[in-house]
Amino acid sequence: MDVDIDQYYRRYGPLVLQRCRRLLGDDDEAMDAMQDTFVRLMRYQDRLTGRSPGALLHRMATNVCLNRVRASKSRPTHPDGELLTRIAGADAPERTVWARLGLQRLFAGEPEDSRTMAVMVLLDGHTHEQVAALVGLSVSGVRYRLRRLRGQIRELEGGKDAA
Amino acid sequence: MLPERRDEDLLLELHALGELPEELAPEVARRLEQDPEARAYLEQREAAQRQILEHLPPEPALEQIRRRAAAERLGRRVRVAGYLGGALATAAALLLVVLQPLVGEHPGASGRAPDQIAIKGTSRLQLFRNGKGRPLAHRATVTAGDVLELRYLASGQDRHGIILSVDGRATVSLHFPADPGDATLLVRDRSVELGHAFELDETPGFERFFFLTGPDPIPVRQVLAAARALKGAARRGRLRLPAGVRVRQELLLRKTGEAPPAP
Repeated sequence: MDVDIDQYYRRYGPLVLQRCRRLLGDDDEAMDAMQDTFVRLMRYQDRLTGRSPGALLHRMATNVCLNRVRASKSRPTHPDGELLTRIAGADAPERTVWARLGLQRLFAGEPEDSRTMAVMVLLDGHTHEQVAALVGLSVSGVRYRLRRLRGQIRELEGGKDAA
Repeated sequence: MLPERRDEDLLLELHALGELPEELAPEVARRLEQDPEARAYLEQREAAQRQILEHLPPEPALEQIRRRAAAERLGRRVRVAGYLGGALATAAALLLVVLQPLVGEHPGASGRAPDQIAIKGTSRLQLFRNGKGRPLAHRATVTAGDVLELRYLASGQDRHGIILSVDGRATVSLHFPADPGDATLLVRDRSVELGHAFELDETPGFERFFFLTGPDPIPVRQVLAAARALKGAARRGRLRLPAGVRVRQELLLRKTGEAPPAP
């Protein structure tokens, strides 16, 4: 479907910006990431299904921010910066093309990048059930995908529980 | 200055947008009934939205977004391999296309096992940037965010195949079959486009693609394990493949922003 980018920006821009500010901490970086999110939306608009664009854009923004954090040499300065950096740097042991390509998968209704789900659970405090409903997976599917980040995620979760 | 940051609450945002998944509606309704802060969030939400849009007016932002999207479509981010200049580069690129299966990134043909040398024939893997133009040559330069379309052609004894890639962090991506548990049977004697594209992430260094073929079904997990075992040798190392499986083609793409080699 074609996206009316004006309408999307007005309706979802603040949500996307809030997401990017939350993850990146820096306002300039966040504004750039927000634009990047909408550029990607335009890139893949023909694959958009129209189902819950708000949740989709929120995850796209998360994906964009994770990639920025991963590519950056400095970590975000907010309290969750270290955790986010570790999630961003986590690798699934073997990523199928879908597990790696967050955005086309989102538009095709395919399941989400494990790292994005890790952010939703570990940073945002969503339950596995909530994440499952938001990304359109079963709860066991969410757990399976998080497990695929192997020891890295277990270590992160353990660290959080201990804190 | 942007308005003061406030914690986002995705579930309440989706509730306000009328896009909350059905299964989460009861718990959000309960929360709104019991939690005054949740109600306050919704009450203040509209004002917060307005404030943000006042500070980031849609018109200039949209103009910028459209410009960036147009630049992306035109492929301005794409760079041509720059280690040689002008006509020499063109000639070298042509030579690489022709000789790629034999030269590769390896120290030399003599350093390679026979099963690692791509065999003459029509079976091949082709990568297209943004789904158009000429197939990318071995050692072509690519950029994070480039979207690659993969096509293969299989013929002769190449009844089964796997397409995978290894990146600069030695992370293995399986492109065909879509899942390690799926069949490796190839469609033969015609160009087959994989049903999905592949977006390069920011992992530095390179992305090395392998098209592996054989006459019989290929144990995907075993091959993936072999690829993962490359680790530090991901750029030049040799895959230890099951009997009967051969490397039909290798294509190494170099990522821009690659760190210079150690002195």
